[in-house]
Formats: sequence, structure tokens, C-alpha cells
Amino acid sequence: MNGFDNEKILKIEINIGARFPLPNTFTITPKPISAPKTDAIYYPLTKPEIDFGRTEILCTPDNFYSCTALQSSIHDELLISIRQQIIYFSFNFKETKDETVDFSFETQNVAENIDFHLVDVLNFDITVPVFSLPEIQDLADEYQAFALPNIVNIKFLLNKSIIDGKAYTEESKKESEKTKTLIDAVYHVLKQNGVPMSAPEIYHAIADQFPYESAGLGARRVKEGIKKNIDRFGERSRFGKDESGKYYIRFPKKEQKEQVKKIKKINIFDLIQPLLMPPLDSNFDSQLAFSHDLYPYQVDGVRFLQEHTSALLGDEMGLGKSIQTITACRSLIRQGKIMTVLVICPKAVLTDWERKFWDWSPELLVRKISGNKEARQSQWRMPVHVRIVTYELLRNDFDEINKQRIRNKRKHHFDLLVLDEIQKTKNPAVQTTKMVRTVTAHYRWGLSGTPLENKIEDLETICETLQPDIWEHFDSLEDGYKSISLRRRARDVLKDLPEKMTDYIWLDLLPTQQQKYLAAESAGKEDLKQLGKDATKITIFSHVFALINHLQQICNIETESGESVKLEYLQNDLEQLTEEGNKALVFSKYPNVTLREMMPHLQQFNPHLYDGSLSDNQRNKIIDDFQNGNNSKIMLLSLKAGNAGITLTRANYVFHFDMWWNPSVSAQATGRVLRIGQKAETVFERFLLTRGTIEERIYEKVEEKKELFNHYVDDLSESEEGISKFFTEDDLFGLFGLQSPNSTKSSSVNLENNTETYLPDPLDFEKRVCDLFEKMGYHTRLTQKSRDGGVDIFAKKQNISGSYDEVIIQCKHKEQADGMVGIQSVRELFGVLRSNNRFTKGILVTNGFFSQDAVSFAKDNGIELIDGLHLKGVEIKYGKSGYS
Amino acid sequence: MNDTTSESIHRKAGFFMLNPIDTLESGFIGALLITDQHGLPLEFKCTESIKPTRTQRALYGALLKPYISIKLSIIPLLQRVSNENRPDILFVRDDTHLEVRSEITQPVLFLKPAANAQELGNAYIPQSAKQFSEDSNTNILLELKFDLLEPFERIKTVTEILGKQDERFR
Repeated sequence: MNGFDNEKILKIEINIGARFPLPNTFTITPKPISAPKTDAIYYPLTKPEIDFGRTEILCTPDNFYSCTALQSSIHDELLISIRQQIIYFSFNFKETKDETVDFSFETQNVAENIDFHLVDVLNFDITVPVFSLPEIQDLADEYQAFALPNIVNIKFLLNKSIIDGKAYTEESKKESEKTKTLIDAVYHVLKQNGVPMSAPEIYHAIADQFPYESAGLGARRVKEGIKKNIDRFGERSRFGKDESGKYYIRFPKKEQKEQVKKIKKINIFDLIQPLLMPPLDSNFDSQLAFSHDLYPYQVDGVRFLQEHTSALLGDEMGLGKSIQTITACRSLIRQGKIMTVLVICPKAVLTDWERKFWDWSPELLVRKISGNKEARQSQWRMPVHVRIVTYELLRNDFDEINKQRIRNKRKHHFDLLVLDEIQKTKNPAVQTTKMVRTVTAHYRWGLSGTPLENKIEDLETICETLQPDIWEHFDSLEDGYKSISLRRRARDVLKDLPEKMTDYIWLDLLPTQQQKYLAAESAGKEDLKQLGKDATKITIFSHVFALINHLQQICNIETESGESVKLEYLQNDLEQLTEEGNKALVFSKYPNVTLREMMPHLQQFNPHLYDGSLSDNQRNKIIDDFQNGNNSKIMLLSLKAGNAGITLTRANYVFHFDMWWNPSVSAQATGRVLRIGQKAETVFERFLLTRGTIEERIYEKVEEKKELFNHYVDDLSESEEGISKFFTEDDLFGLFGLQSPNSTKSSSVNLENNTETYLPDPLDFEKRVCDLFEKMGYHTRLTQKSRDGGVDIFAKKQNISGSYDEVIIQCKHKEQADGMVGIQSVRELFGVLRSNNRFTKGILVTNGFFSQDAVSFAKDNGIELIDGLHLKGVEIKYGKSGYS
Repeated sequence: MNDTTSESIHRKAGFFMLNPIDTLESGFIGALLITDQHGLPLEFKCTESIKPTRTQRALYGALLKPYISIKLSIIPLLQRVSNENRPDILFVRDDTHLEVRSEITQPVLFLKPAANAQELGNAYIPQSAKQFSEDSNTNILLELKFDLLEPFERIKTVTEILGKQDERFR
């Protein structure tokens, strides 16, 4: 055969093969092997949402999953229940074995044997002197139902005994019977309400009020506690008393749902999905593999990491250490060399790591470890590829990590351990360093932007953390360090770098910040709702901007408590970059409530504050000192003052504390450093933004309107007047999920003649959208009106790799340009998208706008939204569609 | 719905392997990977571990593995592939699997790397394999733009991991 790619296929041999000889006779008909079941996974990839909820175990033989993570959680629940039950029965015996009696259960290795199904009968002794056999049988049945009938059978071996000659009294028998009656009553009430808790769990819930050690003190104490709870909290108490005097537990509906929430199965095929992908191209520039390009030096960094089980990546700040790490990690997982990864990082960058993993390796299952102890326990047990945790939480949860390793019978805790900002572990005496060294992994990588060569003692500790036996292979520190490290400065890789590198850092608000933010937003929205239809445009804008500004200020720094996640992040970055001899500018619109509040926390960097309150002389002096002196490392600038034609080329790092409406504003601010006289090869620009806040919504709105800015930017101000040219009242109200009171009066920007846009009827609108997508390079097909199955347009386009992107488009025509499309429409489209894996994307197009709920839902579920203004911008870009 | 838009051909290739679950071959897993013409996975199906008893081994003899491969793996796996992902061609690494040709409509090719570089481009087409005399099947091969032996490595790795992670595959 000619025409083959000889490099890929060397030979194809086609062989018919021999036919099976038919048997003549069989005296015994062989039993056919039963056909096994099959499973499948589907492509394309979607971001998996995994939520274990509470660790309630509701398993039936049908959905029982033999994943070891689930097994271990079942095991713990079983243990807890058995432990409680033992205490329940043994409380009558004052001199009985103490509550640690259950620990003998663990020491017999029965625990592990259950996990690996080496036993199918679990026998243990309970000292039960008096209870009758039927009662014990009831409890045994309880456990049979609770436990997994096809895995473990639990039989109670009765061992009636009297301890130390003291007889079991009639009174204590009555108490214990009353307790059992109480539990039974609650059990039936819950069962009737669809909450199938078992008796041991109910007892545990009842005794929740009391310390664990006193849980066995008797029914009387339990009832006293319940009564106190009712007296104290009244209607808010979890407990109640019905007319017959029986106590019951009240569960609020939400909690009830959580109680019965089944553990969502982690499909084993989600774990292996990366392995089914083609191998990553050795140059990491394959379009099949990446949506973004790596710079050549980053490709070298990825190769370095993959080739070293112990590695220290010390690139200068801003060169993309985390991206290189994520890519190397992804490649190793794709090759099947590793399956489990732990990233340990400072708290400020926890969310940023999660986001970067989603951007750079969407097929990996990633979990951030956070929340209360119970939640974290579930998170550690989830079978995911990557876990991200802070140094502080690692200390708290190390026992759990260890338990997982033992249960899963793994040699190492993880296959890959990544230590971000590894210089935090430079002190070997500190608990954090000791804990980190106790975590074992086959691959150990450290990341640090801080130059370490000058600190010998730190270097030694760090090298030992990464490779404990390093000094067995190297005599000198220098040799050892060189063998495992790779460090590039910006000037080393300047030929690969652009003039400016921009990074968006997404952070989560700190607790008090979050609290204050939510309260302020809620109150602000109420105020906005009070605005009547008679309110003028000026009044409306004024109110909205006042609220937006207030919320942005809280996102920057919460002045009462001083909490600021952005400041924490900034301090961390400044430490690194100033050590390198770099300087930085920090811009904000709010000199008083942001910049001045920050000043005391940044004293170590000798900051200058440049704002409108300075005289000309003072300004000149500050600029001169910053540009020519060595003392001051950073300058805090208000946007207005710092946007004049000043030159600050001594700095090569620019931090934007606020989310700008107009992208040109940030460009001009950064222009203070990016001009003639700048000696650094690359200027690094970072936007510090908070997730789940007004900043994120503004960011998305600005992204939507980028086309407009490209065409129409002639006003660089961030003034209300300037902003109102591009954002309507409804745009701004839409940031809060509200509709402007004057939505019929809103003047949408018309990109042609400032006249009202003629809005075609629904069918015309669909044709208009269809034409537009044709111009964008898609093959399109309008569906028939009555049988569209929730889709108006099918569109298909061949991408660079040669495969096809198949897109479904739904059009929502509104009679008014400011008509709103709500979340329901997005949900419907999402439902259609999910039902057919052929489609790569769903797009919802309207000539109106989208509600905030719709925007949030779309963002979380990968649906693209095009509102009226965006649509017009795109039409201009691709040529007018012919409809006016 | 009739799709009236023009579209270029979108090829799908199937790769089947029967992997033992351990070195003693006490059981087997049949696995089928469907990819597009660039090697991107479209669908993956595999059987749970098939464990023949001693009696079955003795009675089936040399026919055991072909039987497991064809009757218990390839055919049911292919039947469960979704309509839009049905492969245009099936590749196998074991020549005993070629017997499935009489049971399915897709052409089946047995692949192995050439030991001798001088044999580049040579292939043997027995006259009885009529399917391969048709141009359309040759074109299928030409449109597959990746190393055809590589997906088998993926299948092998995946079945190993499945065996470690899930009891059904041990």
C-alpha cells in the first residue's frame, strides 16, 4: 500500500487467522462464562463538580462502590456507631472497662481486613449483662441494615457478666430502657419524615450536647440536657416535645436534605480520564493539549521538573512557576507515572492555584482543602488527582493524611508533593517544616521566587526538605543545590518574554471581609430597590456607583478589622520582588480608605504615598527619591494623581488593587513604568481581584464589552459620566441581579446613529444571529420552529487541530432592547447541552440583557452569553448583518 | 433532523485489547477505545474482569482467549458504543482477534510494529479479505493522523490503573 506516513506505521500485516475447529461431540456442555458488564466514559471533558456533602452512608448493594476512599469512610462510621453502642450498653457498669474499650477492636487489625474484604464475619464482645436476647437481636438487625449486607455480617456474641460482684440494678435497667424508648421514638419520627438515621446515629445526635466521655451517663442526664436545650432556645431548639410528652429531634428542612444527601459517586473513569488522552507533545506546543502557549523557557522548566524527582524551581517572580508546575504535573499524570498530587501553599494563593489548575489542566480533578474539620475529612478521602492545602491546615490534618496512606496501603502519602513558597520551610525547628518533611512523596518539588543562593543556612534546609538523602550523594552544598535547582531571571529569558506580562490573581475574601461585604451588598440592594420610577438618571447612577465603590473598598481592605486578602498577597509578593532588587507601584482609586490604610503594614518597604494632597514640590521629591534612591521600594499611587505624565521607570512591577471599568485606565497606569527609560526587559502587571464579589462581575461585564472599547474608547476617565457611555442603567443594576426602575427609559448605546435600534421579530432575530455566525466561520443550520428541541441554531466549525467544534445556539428575542433573560433560559440550554455529548458549547444570544443569576449559572456551567450590546459589537466586527 | 450542511469526513478508529489482570492470567479485561482521526478519545468501554474457572479453562483450551475476546468482549463492547461514535475501523494487537471480522461490519486490522525498516510500506492482503480491496477502507487509514500503536499503550495503562483502583477490575 502506498501513501502511508512511514514514520508512524511501519508495517501493517493483515492476517485472516485460523478458524475455530468445531468440536464433534461434548459429553459435558461447558458452562459459558457469563457476560460481564461494561462501562463507558464520554468526551468532551467537563469540569467535574464533586460534592460529598456529609458523610452519611446510604448504600445499597446496587450502588455500593468499592473505591477505597468510600470504604474507609464506611469503616469510620461503623466504628463510631459501634463505639457508641458499646458505651450505651456498658454505662450501667461503674467499674466497667472505660470508654476506650472499642480500641481493642482496632488493634486486632480487623479494621483493615474489612477494607479489603478479607473477613465477612465480624465478631466482637460486648458486656451485656441484662438485656434480653430479642433486644440484642434487634440491635444486631439494626447493624445489619446499616452495614453492607453483601460485605460484612455482624454478629454479637453475648457475654453476660457481672463486674466486680456488683449487680445490675433495676433502676439502671429502667433508665436504659427509657433511653432506648426515647431513641425508638425519635427513630420512628425521623423515618416518617424520610430521614433514615439508625439508632446509634440518633443516640449520637442526642448526646451531641454532652462531652463524649459523659455520653454514657444515662438517659436521665440526656433528657435533662434536652429539656435545658428546649428551655434555653425555645423554638430554636433542635429538640421538641409532643403532646404525649415524648421528645423528638427537629431537623430544619435544609439540614434534613443534607442528612439524606447521598454521597455522589466518584466515577472511577473520571480518575483515569487523563490517561485516555493522547500523550502530550514533547514540545508542549500541541493545540490538542493546550489552549494557551508556553514560552520556550517554560517548556524547559516543565521538562526539568518531569525529569527530577527532587526539584527546586526558583524562577523570578512573574515567570510562571505555577503554570510550569501544573503542566509538568499534568504530563506525569497523563503518562500514568503519578496519580495523586498535594500542593501546599500560602493561604493567600489557595484559590489562585485552584483557578490555574482549571485553566491549565481542566481534565484533572482538583480539590481545595478548606472548611471545618468534618468537611476537610471528606475532602481528604475523595479520590481526586490534586489536593491544594495551606501550610497551616496541613499541620491540623496530618493524622487524616496518614490514615489515608495506611488504608490505601500506599508507600508514599502522595505521588507528587509541591511546596509553593518553599522558603517558608527554611527553619528546620519550626513545626511546619517538620510536618512538611514527614509527608512522603515520590516526586518532591519546591517553588520559590526568592533568591536563595545568598542564604546558605536556608538553602541547606530546603535541599534536605526536597531530597532527604541529598548529602549522601553530594559533598558540598553547592553541588547538591545545583543538582536539583533551576532558576531563571527575567533577563535570562528576555528573548522569550513580551514587554509586559499581565496576570489576574483571584483571591477569596477573608472571613470578616466576607461578612461585611455581604451585609453591605444586601443593604445596598435594598436601597436600590427603593428607587422609584421617577428617579432621574443622575440619581440612579449616583446610587449605584456609591454602592459599587463601597463594596470595592471592602474588597480592598475592611477598615474596622484591618482584614485584607489583597494586602496579604501583596506583602508576600513584595518580599520576593524587593529581595531581587525590584521596585513596585500599587494603584488604587481610593487613596484614603485603601492606600492610607495599607501604609502602616508596608513600612518595611519604605513606601511613598502619591496622591492629590501633595504639593508639586512634595511630588517631585517623592518621584526623585523613588527613581534614584535605594531606600523606598514601593510607591502607592491614587489613580488620579498617578495617571498624569509622570515617569516611574525604576519600578518594573505594577499592582492594581481595583477592578477598572475602562481597560485603558490600567494601561495608562502601567504606562508610568512601561516607557523609555525602563531598564527591565519585562514589566509585570498584576490585578488583585476577589472572587464572588462585585469585582468579578465587573470583570465579566468589561470582558463582554471589550469590542466596544476597542472601537469607541475616547474617554479614559473612570468617572460616572464616562462609564455611563458604555454601561446602561440596566447593565449596572444587573450587577446586583436587579432591573433599573427606569428600564423603559434606558438609553442603550447605539453604535451607528444614536437612534433607536429596530428590533426584528423573533424569526428575523434568529436569522440575524445565524448570519452572524456564518460570518464568524461557522456552518450553520436553523432548526424548524416547532421541532427545535430547545435549539434554534446548530453551528459547526473546524478548529486548528482538524476536529470540529459543534455548538448549539438559542436565541432569546426581546421586544425592548433592555428586556431581561433570566436563569431559566440558561438552565434549559444547559439541559440540552448535557443531554448530548456531541456538542462542545452552548451559546445563548439575546438582544436584551441577562440577569445576574443567569450570568452566574452560565459561568458555572460553561454556557456562553451574548447580550444585546455585545451582539452589536460583534456584528460591527464581522460586518453588519443587514438588519438595522 | 436532516443535516444539510456540508461536512468533511470525520473518522473514528477503534482499538481493542484483551489484558490479563495478573501475570498468571487468572482473569482478563477486554477494553475498547474509540478515537477520532487525531487520536482524541471519544469513548472508552471495558469489561469487568472475566475470570474463567479451572474447568472452563480445561474445556475451552486454546479457544478460551479467542472466545473471551470475541464473544464476551469485542462484540458486546461494540454493541454498547453510542451511535455517533461507532468506529469506522477496528485495530487489534492479537491476530486471534481477527476472527471477529465475520461477526462485525467494520474492517479489522491487526497491527504490529515492523522489525525491519526495509519492510516499510509493505503489507499483505490475502485475496479473501475483500473488504480491503475497496478504496474507502484504504482512505480510512490515510485519514488517521497519529501513531496507531500508541492508543494501545493508553489502554494498557488504564486497565492497570483500573485494576488497582476498583475491585471490579481485579
